[in-house]
Amino acid sequence: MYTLLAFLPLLILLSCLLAFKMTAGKSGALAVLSSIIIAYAFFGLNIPGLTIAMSKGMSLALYVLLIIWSAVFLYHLVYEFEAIDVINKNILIFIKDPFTQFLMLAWLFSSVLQGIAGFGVPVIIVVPILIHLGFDRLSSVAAVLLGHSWSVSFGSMGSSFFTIALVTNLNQQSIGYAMGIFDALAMVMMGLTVCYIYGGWKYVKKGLIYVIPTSLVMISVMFTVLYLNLVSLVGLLTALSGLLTMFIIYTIKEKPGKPETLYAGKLTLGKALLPYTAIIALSLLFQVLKLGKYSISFQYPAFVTDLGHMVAQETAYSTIKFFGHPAPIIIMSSILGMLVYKQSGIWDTKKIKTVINRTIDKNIGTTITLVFLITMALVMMDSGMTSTLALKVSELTGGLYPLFAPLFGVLGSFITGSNTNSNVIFGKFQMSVATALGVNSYVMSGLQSISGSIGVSLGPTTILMAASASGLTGHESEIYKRVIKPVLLTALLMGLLNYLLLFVFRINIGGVL
Amino acid sequence: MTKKIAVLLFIPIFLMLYYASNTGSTALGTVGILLFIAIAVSQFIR
Repeated sequence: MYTLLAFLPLLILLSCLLAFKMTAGKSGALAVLSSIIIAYAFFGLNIPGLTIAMSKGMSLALYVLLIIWSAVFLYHLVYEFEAIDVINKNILIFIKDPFTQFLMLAWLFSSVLQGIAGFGVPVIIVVPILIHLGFDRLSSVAAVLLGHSWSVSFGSMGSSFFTIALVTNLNQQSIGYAMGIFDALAMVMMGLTVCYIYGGWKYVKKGLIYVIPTSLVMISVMFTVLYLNLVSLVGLLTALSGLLTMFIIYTIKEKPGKPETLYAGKLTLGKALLPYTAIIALSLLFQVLKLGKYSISFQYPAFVTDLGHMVAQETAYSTIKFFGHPAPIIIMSSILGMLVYKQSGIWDTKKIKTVINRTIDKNIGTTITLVFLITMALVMMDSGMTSTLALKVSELTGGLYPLFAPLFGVLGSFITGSNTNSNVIFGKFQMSVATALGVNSYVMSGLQSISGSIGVSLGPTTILMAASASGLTGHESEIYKRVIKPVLLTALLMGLLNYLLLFVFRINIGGVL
Repeated sequence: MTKKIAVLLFIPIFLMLYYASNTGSTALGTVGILLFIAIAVSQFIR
């Protein structure tokens, strides 16, 4: 009974989006309302607890919304001043084959961006580029969402990776090796999925020549960087090595010859790319400078629900670092871009007004939905609904649990839109189940993080960002339909691999059987 | 309720809920929760 009730808000959200094709706003409203009612009436989340949970949800929404608003502003800025046109025309000069462009941008370039910035930045940057190159909107969105999903866990300078190590209290390097095994599978699967999105099975076959050798190089680089214990750089260096390998394969295979002169409209390629290179440079710079103390965060007291579910005190919740959060970095990069436009003589105040108006129009609906969905996630977590659901599934599946374990990583990311949060919710839980079953906890924890990584492509936050960046706001259900099957298939294969590693090969990572 | 008003209303609601969370004010928390619910319900009233 309680398990069914705990599942109801998610069921409502999924049915409204996928079966009834309602907008994300209405689906989110119904889902959050149901979670509030169920948490209050059946899970003993009283008014003080509900107040804290909802406030936490809104503070997390603020963190994400700042990224969305600034990224959409930057997109409209480069669009209005025709910088995106210069970028697209130069991509066409370097890589003429549309299939290679699609695969390289959606699978690898987006992963390089994830390695540096993450938090939805790959989606916001790469989706518009693909659309302007002439690819179908829905295919572009699905390809980027899935294409970079393998790189989320090791991306963003390793933030999700550090979280899983932190919540499980396991050795960082060993957990990295376990994650690497599952990430290798996810990497290949997502490369092939992007090929499939482009043109069906015919292009999966055609894409093997790129996906297999590129993945082999990336897997080697990933384990080498892990061996060197440079955990913050695993995502970035792996994806960069892939981008370079694929470009070399393309050059050998297609023999495109020396590129013609670079295209320059009102801006040169360097100037057109400046806001994006500034994002990369500033992200790296602030990582090195360690200016984390300049930040704002929220505090919340501990509480216990009427059913006895304990929620810990939060002393620094949803911390927004002025020199670490993507929004200030994107805003600084946008300002740099504006200065360059002024210096290049293409400044137009009317265009800035258009940029601001379009940013507001695009983000209003997204803001409402996002607040609803993140609040729902926090109400479910703080009321104990999420843990009730998890415990019941592990109880029902017993020894077969490792087959279903990836679904928790995916579920955590689907509810919260974040690999880090998925690891916070289910990291410790997965490790506890591994201990109870007497299997390797590193493998199970590594699986949790990578399944959470691919699950990010189903996260409401990411989907809304993608819809907003592609002009598909209101069509979120179509995006979900394109993305859900590859995620579930990959999760299924991960479960199978997990089972084989734990029960057939009885793999030993971190000195624990 | 227009979407812009709904977004603007989120700001005082968040402040109310945050203040109520840290002071234990049940009355303020209740008002914040009810306003939040009203915004969610308003999505179906056009």
